[in-house]
Amino acid sequence: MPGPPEETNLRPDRGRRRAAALAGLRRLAGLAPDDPERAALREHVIGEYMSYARYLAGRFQHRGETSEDLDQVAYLGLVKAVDNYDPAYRTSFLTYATPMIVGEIKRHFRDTTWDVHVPRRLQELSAALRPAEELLNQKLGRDPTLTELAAHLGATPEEVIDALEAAAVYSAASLDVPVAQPDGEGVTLGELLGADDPGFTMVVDRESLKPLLAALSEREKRILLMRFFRGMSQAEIGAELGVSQMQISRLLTQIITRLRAGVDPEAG
Amino acid sequence: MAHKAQTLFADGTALDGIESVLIRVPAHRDYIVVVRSALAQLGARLGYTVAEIIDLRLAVGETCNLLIGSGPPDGPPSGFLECRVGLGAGTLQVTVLGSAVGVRQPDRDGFGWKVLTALVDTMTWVRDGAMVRVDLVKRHRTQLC
Repeated sequence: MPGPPEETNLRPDRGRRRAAALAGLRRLAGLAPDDPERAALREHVIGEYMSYARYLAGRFQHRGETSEDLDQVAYLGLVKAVDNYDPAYRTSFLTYATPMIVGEIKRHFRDTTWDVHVPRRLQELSAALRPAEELLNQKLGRDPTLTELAAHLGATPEEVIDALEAAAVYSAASLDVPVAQPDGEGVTLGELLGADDPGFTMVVDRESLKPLLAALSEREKRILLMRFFRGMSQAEIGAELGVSQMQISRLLTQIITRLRAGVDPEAG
Repeated sequence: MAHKAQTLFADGTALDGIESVLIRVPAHRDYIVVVRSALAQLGARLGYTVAEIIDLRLAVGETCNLLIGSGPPDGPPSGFLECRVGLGAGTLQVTVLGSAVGVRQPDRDGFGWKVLTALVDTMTWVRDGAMVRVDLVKRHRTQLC
């Protein structure tokens, strides 16, 4: 397996900076809590990954929050990730930090927004999933299994699976909100992807896609697969998901733009 | 629900004693939820994480959808879809078998293929006469991550 995502497909200067940030992370983990070097090093490392936290916050911006608010929430998750990351976990930092940052943002929304069709019991269970996952992750040094998660929540695995479906309903609601198109105004999908954009198709490979896909919801990944794996038209996707072709078009543009920014944040 | 059986893997090797589950449903979109539910249960049984289960059932669900093809969504199902799940040690091997009629194989160099294969560990697509067989393997990574 190739190296972790932060060490691949970067321009040489970015690659060096990321390598330095990674080295900083490793040294940070070895420093005593009261080491005088600690504060400055911690601040530097956090600063190096802030653009990645903003990238993750970008996927939630269509839900009616100002981007500054969301960025702050994402930074909070980043700080937690930097403080808790241990190189002994044998996972790349981005793999570790992504669910933590996304979890922080989701928790931010969860208290106020819910689809009315979801029964309260499932809402509660679904809301408890991510914090429980994070807690167990810190305790175990790895992602918990679904069974461990269920035991921790006092639920059956069946109930947890139902709660996952409920979470999918929650993200479906966001489809009805017009989405922002950061740089997508007047840009067709064909211009963002495929023959018209060799940069995107050339740079992205399976391994660098993985952490980017991990930052997408199940429904967003599904829309990508419907369009590009099943080869459906936007109208067909809209019909199957019960939303308009226009909404699918906006959503696809937004997903692709985010993926592209994740492949090379400076090319945005 | 599971039974001991000899499972033939994509590369032709057979593993004795591996537990496998066979799900056969009418080739209609409404039945894909049955396959999705079963995969979630089997993933939980093998100690998979939530993220791993979501990605596996997404990959298998979309493959099933592709093999069901572009028939009228409200018409009666034509034919069947077979989904065999082999439960190895930390490995789920899913073989989806369906009719090849009207099914277009996605471009192996295309973006959609990359997205799908990024959600699982390996994927092979074999056209066998009138049938298409897709093998998907998703390993459990908790010990590494």
